[in-house]
Parts: sequence; C-alpha cells; structure tokens
Amino acid sequence: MVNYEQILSARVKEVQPSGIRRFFELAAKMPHAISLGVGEPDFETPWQIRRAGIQSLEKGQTFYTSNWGLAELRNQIAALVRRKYRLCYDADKEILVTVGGSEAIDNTIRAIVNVGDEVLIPEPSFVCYKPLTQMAGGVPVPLPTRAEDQFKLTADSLRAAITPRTKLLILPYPNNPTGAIMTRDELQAIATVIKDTNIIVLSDEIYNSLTYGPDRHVCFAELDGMKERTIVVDGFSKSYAMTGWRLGWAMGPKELMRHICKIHQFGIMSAPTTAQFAGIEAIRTGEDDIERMREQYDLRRRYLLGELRSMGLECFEPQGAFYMFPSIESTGLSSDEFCERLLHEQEVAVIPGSAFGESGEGHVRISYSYSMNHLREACRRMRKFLQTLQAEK
Amino acid sequence: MKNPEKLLDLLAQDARLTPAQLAAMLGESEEDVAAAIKAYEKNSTILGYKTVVDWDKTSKESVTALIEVKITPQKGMGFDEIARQIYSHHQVESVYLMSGGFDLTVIIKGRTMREVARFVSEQLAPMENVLSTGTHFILKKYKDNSVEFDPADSDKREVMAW
Repeated sequence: MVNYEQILSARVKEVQPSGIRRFFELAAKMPHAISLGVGEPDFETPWQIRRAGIQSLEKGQTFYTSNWGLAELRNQIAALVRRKYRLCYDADKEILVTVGGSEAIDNTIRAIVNVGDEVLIPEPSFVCYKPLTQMAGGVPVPLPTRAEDQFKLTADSLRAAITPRTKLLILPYPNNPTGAIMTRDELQAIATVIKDTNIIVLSDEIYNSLTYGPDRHVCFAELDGMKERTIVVDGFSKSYAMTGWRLGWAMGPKELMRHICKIHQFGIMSAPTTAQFAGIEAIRTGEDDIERMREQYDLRRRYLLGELRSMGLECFEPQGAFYMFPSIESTGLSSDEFCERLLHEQEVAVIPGSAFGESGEGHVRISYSYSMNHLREACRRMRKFLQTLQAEK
Repeated sequence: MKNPEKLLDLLAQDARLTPAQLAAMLGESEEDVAAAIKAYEKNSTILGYKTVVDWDKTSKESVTALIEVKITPQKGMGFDEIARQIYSHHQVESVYLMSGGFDLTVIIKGRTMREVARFVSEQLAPMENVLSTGTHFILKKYKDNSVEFDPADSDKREVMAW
C-alpha cells in the first residue's frame, strides 16, 4: 500500500480546496436551479477577435512563441497601457504574456516570496492569493476590509499589519467579490505607507475595464514612485470576455520581470499562440466591445442593486467588476446557511461571502454577469425566499 | 430625465421592464420614468409593444415575402401617398422607402404562397404607379429585430467560483 499522505508535499497538503466546490456540486444536481454564482462574463468573445484566432490557425500559426509572448502583442499591450495610464513599459523587458492573470499572480508571488515571508492580502478577495502564497512557502496575512469602508483597503489597517517580514502587498481592485474600487486619493494613501518600505505591490487589475463611476480606473503604478515597486497583473478575460482563451500579462520593472519570466519559461514555455493572435486583434479593435459590454453590466448593476435593496437587503453600491456583495446579517443566518437554504428552497445559487475570507462572513456574492431575463427570475425567487425568512421571525 | 433615449433603448430591447426597474437602471425616479413613457405614447414616439414569436414553432401556416417595388411618382402624388395606398392593405406588414435600385420594400404576410402571389398580381402590380415588382419569399428567419431565433440559451460556463 502506498501511503499517499506521507508522499504528498506538506505545502500542498496544507492548502484547503475552495469551499465553493461543495456548493457547486449541490447546484449541479438540481435541474431547475439557476445560478448567480458565475464569475466570468456571459458574453461570448466578440466575433472579430474569435475570427483572428481562427485565421491564425488557418495560416498555420501553430508554434510556440517567444517566452515573453509575441512581440506584436507586447507592443500592443505597451501602447494600450500608454494610452490608458500614460505609463511607459519596455515591450521587450517589462511585459510578460501569461496564461491568464492567474499565472501572472502565481509567478509573481513565487519570484518574490522566500520561505516565511509575509504576504498581505486584503479580504474578502479572489480565492487564489492565499493558496498560491502558501505553496510558495510564504505566510498569508489577511487584511480584513469592512462594509463601512466600502471594502476598501485603508492606510491604517495596512500600516498596522506591516512587519519586518512583510514582502508583498496584494492590491486586488476593482475587487472580486465585493465590487469595491479604489480612487486615486485612496491609492495615494496606500502608496504613502508603502513608499518608505521595501514592500513590493502586486496590483491585480484584471477588472480595470469594468468600473461604473465617473472616474476612470487608476493603475497603481501611475502613482509617484510606485512603478518601480509594482507588478501590475492584467488580462483579456474580463475586459474582452476571453476567459477560456487563457491570456493575461504581468508588467513591472525589468529587474523583477527577468526573474518572473524564468518561472514562466520553465513551467509554461509560452501562452497559447492562438490566444495571442486573438489578443492582438482584441487590443486593436475591441475598444467598442468593451464599452458595449460595460454598458450592459452597468444597467444590470443598477437593476440588481435596486432589487436587492427593495427586498430589504443592505447593499453598498459596487463601482467595479460584476458582483454585488449584500449583507445578509438581517436574516440572522450565516452566509453558508443563507446560501444553502436559498438553493434548496428557491433553487438559486449564490456564493457565501465566507468563501472569500473570514471578513466576507455575513455577506453573499451575487454575480450580475447574466441576462436581464435570468436576473429577473432570480430576483423573483430571492424575494420569495426573503419573504419566507421574514414570516418565520 | 437625463437620458431619455436610453429609456427608449431599454424598452425597445425589453418592453416588459417595469417603470420601477427602468428607474433603477437609469438612476431616475419611478414617477419620472412613468411620466416619460406616457408622454412618448401620447406623442406617438412609442407606437406599440409587441411580442417576438417564432411562428415556425407553432402549427400556424404562414409565408412572408419581401417585395421590391419600383414606382413612377406622378404629379401630385409623391412616394408617401403611393406607400400609403400599399400599406393600407392589411396583409402588408412593413413598407420602407429605399435608396438604390428600387423604391419600396414591401413585406407581406399571407397564409399560403398563393395568397401572397394573388396579392402581388392582383393588388400590387396593377397599381398605376407601380413599374415593376420582384417577389422574394422568406425561407427561414435567423434573427429578427435583434432577436436570434435559435438562441444558444444554455449557459456554457462551467466554473462557478471565479
């Protein structure tokens, strides 16, 4: 008998599988269940972008690319970033094309974290930062954010968490699951704390195209003195509805990128070639598509916010991504109980906030990456569920 | 109201949205939205609300034809008047004045092909101002009024957590 427990890496064993899984399996067995759980665009990739991928295959572009990614794609990314943020990155040494934003996050953490180094992770946030830190031998340090602060990271809580072992700060805004964003002034307060330290910032800006307020998204590297200590992670998944293509990038100072690229080089070789050709087309011609989808998300966001509030749920107005993070504390249920009962009684799947960190308890994540008809039916069922809970009291 | 065209856009996509829902989506008050809709109905900007039906899924037999019509406008009788004479027939669904090789597009619906043929040969073609007609029968509708007729409505997304 092989003793697998003894064989497995201690670091990997330490990592807990995502708590959402159990839930997902439950929902999958219910044929009439409808989901508000999915965290990816409901739009298909715009046709001309798909077409570019198909054409590259027709032309026989079926080979590896440079480890860094196609030069043309990196040039396009550099130009895009220059247009959007007025930031100059060297397309040859400072931009690495990766297999989605996730790989960029993993490589960055692995390139920077030594065993025992602390990684500050604002929570609630995307589920990957903690396990990736653990697998790199680092120590994840959660930075709880609060609904009162609209789930923004505050300078005070950051300052209080910094120790001599702090190596990396994750900055996940616009945020999944809360929909929170950080304005220039709020980011400046973070930069002021970081300025006199040796902390590197991993700014995960994958949702940067999806913001709904009056101001455009601010890239953390735009702030004075931050470019030299920031790795920006971005990608095509959310902005161009290209999740399945697995295409993203990391950009930062060449002294760091050289090493981040080594991990990519030996682990991955190069991002999918077809996706890279599609990515070139996306940046070239996808601007209108981004705006079209953003407008749709915005309408749904307003609709859903109105519905949730009229059901009696407290919900701050999210300004980014495509999630709502209402409080369900008024129901007296834990977020797990709420989701389980909602699924069983009205067959609507939403995700417990606790899946995104302890500070997410008392909330649920609702995605509005769904058609209006779908949202309307889901809201009807949720309203019924909340009325049942009310009647029980 | 800040953006009245947006209200019309939304209703054109989905006429079942209630004033309360529209108000939330547009950031307006429900009263303002209801009043705007009423005003649009009154001044005929909003002309009606209909349902998009895929008749092929029903047992009802019908054929639709698109007819290209060339006309010679005559003194004292412009395109508008000729068009009116055509669209007054109850079988006619749409009439458009066109640029290009012909003048009017007439879309007509009948129970059978013969019924459509009879309409063209007995009603439309003999009209004094009508120079010629070209009748095209519609074989299948893929998309109409921005609505796809065979929607791939099943959600293809597999992953729930991200």
